[in-house]
Amino acid sequence: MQVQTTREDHRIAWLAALAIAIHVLEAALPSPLPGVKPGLANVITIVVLVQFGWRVAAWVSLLRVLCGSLLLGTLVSPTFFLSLGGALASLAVLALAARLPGRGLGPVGYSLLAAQSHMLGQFLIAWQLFIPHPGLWTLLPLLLTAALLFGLLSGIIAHMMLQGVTREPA
Amino acid sequence: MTRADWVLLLALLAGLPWLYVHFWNSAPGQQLAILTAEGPPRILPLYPNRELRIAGALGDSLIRIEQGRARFIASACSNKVCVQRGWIDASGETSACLPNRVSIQVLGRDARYDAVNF
Repeated sequence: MQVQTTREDHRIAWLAALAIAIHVLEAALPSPLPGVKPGLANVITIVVLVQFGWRVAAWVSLLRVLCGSLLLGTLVSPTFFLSLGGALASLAVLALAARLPGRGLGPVGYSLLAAQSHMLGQFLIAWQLFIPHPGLWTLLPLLLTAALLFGLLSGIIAHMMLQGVTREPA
Repeated sequence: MTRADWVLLLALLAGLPWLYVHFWNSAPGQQLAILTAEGPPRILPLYPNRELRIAGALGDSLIRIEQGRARFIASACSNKVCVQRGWIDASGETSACLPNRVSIQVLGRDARYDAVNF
């Protein structure tokens, strides 16, 4: 059986593969606090959002969550649902942000928004499904501070990548 | 960076201190739950001041309730972790005497479970 693929399918696959590789490499880094990690794979999501639009970014992001969890062995574990919840939350917010009038947000703004909504999404899932203890809310300020710093970092990396990608070859 | 990027970044930076103030100043609890190995949990108001003698697995635990806070002041255990814990007053705070199987928790918002594991 031959499956017809378009150029866009190939593009999505390549970009998702790149994001998955970063996702898996990053899983090797130790984390100071559950739920906190740099999230560098989202640099790809942001670059894709700016270059190819929200639809491709959603594909790349969700494929990364699915295949990343298959490779790391966390599929349908709590980690997976936290990851998926975060990805869905940030995609929803990015869908709204991409519709801003005027010049709108740049890669740094998208990345900041995505990081905050990713953290909030996974926090609410953790709170609803796994740890419905009021003490959990004490962690929220720390988690959102980490999300702000890492979101800014990822945004700056995405910005630099986009400058490299869009520069005309000399 | 576009102007919207800066506005967003400054708004987030401004919002952070509010988060810390809001979530790290926990509201004082109004009620105390006392859990023992036997029987259902007892839920009592944190006023007025009084002392309670709770029968546990090893013997009695003495719990003092005073001005909206509570603590173990004696327990029939050997290491007295529960007594060392001191006063608890914020919702969600707990103090437990595991050997005697008595624990107390200040109640605030909805707290049906501590954690759920699959």
